[in-house]
Amino acid sequence: MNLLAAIISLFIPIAAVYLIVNYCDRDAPSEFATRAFHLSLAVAIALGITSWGYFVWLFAVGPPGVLHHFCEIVAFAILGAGAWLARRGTPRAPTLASTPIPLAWRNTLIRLFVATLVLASCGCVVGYFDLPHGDWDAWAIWNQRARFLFRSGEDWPLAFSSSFPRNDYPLFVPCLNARLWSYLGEDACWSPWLMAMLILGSISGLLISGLCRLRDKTVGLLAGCVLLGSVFFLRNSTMQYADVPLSLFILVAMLLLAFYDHAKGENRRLLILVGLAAGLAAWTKNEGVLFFVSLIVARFVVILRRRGVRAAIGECLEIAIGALPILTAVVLQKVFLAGENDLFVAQGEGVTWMRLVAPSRWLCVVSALLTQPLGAVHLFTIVLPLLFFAFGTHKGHLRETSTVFVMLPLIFCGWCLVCVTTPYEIRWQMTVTMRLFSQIWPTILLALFLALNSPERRAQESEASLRGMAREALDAARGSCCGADDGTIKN
Amino acid sequence: MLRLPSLSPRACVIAVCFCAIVGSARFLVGRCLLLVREMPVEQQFLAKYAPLRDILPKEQAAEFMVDSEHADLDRFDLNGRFFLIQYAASPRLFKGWADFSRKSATVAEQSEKDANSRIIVVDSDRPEVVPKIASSPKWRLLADLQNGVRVYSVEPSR
Repeated sequence: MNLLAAIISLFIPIAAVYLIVNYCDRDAPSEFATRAFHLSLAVAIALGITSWGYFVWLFAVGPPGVLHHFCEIVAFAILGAGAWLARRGTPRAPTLASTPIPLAWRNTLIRLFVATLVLASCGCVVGYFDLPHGDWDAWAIWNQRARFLFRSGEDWPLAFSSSFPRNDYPLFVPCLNARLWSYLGEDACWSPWLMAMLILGSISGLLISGLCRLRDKTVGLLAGCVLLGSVFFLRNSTMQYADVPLSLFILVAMLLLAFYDHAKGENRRLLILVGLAAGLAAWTKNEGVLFFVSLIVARFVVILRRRGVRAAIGECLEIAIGALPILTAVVLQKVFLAGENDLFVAQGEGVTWMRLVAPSRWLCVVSALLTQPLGAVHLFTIVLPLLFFAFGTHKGHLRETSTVFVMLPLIFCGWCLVCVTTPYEIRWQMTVTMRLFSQIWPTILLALFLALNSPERRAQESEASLRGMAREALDAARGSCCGADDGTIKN
Repeated sequence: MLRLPSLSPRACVIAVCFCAIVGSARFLVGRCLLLVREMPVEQQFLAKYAPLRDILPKEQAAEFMVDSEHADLDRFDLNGRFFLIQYAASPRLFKGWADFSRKSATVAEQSEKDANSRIIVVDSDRPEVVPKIASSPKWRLLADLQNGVRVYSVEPSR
């Protein structure tokens, strides 16, 4: 019975958000990639909102119980039904006629993608039996706080006791797990792993289907192959680290922004959703706050250059409005519950300045941040540039990727500042580099594959250029024939 | 002008997929190899500490001490054990941890001076070894989990 309640607690919110997304994106062509995109987006947003809702209820009413479950399910059911009824009244988008496969080797690509997917999925399942409670950060921070929220009942503020280090960390993962346990009635060990796998599935689905829609299927599948072949990313996911959920919300924000730019800013509702995703990133980890600030700054700079100050302020305001409800919860947690941040509390004017001006610290931090990720994605550092040599870059991709390319250096600078001023031993601090990199890895793949010219387009371009050359040769041959007939001499 | 050699698109795509398959296969094999070893260390400790949830008082935070003389610290250091015991026994709270062997004298002295009673959980990886400090008359054994974990209450000094 409790298992059924847990299934319903996942199914109803995801289905409701799917119907809402489906209604909002009703002009999209009805095809598999669109449905996969809507489903992956629905999983991300539903998990984020339910985690946030759990905290709001906990803070405002008390430990969530049957009343919370009832209100939550009814609210999602009403919203979903409303979206479904509204969708019924609108004309259906045309189904795209199945385009002939232009590349003879696309089937080979699909088979290789499926092989990668199967191997990665098996690894994740085996990973559960190997680390059922996740790895260090999972049981030391995230799942531990979830246990306190769930097990303490009325004493739930114990989860923020001063005896815990890092009790200022945001609560997406703890609230998500505690919520599912509250439906299950027990703190089942498999539930955090299931959430981690749903999040990994959502990331893969969003990256692949998003690129299928913005570019084509080949590009989407290639990006999916690279993501599912990234050992460090899969490992962080089975370890149940919060960096992977954070990477999901960063990806959602940047992907929706790419859709917004792709449509040349016609659908302004997307900006609200971008803000919601950015807010959820801040609700997941403190690095999410850095992402939110970097996103606002990057977007402001990009739009300022394109359309002036007024448009830049307008877009940033819409993103901030979307993030507002989630950021309110972040502020409530930081002000009323959380202790001081361990990285900030050990700062002082003199000591921070000494750390900032020490060249050895900068050297250590920058070299670790640059070299460790390259080591982790080892083979891909060779083959990804090869793809660009083979296919070239997509013309006009900067419209969709410029915000990412401005934002990533800002995030990198933020990481550098935090790592250089750390009160901890700097070499130990730099052991987290790979986790930081996994936060932006799906977004890096999104930007790279958006910038990549698609193989189909490349084949068409080659064919067109061959035709052009043949036509020129034919014209030249005709010309020389005619010239000979006319008796003129051509050099 | 430098002219780059033309690359076959099909070969590039297959190279990317090959790397992806190698990566995911490495991940799977790595997980399988970890699985065939004995029960992971974290799980051993979690099983060891889990009964504390029913033993420790709800209203008082306990202190955690590891007897490092008789502990296999290569398996898990003191900091890691503290987080594991906190995770296993949650929502019972722990105030902090200390190395029992090194600080036994300090702990004994402090317990003499302390005005409040304290709950102390001692962990030694060798259950047969009784910690030296436990012989102090102010220390009362509350529970012995028979796996090296003992719970003591230390009476306040009058």
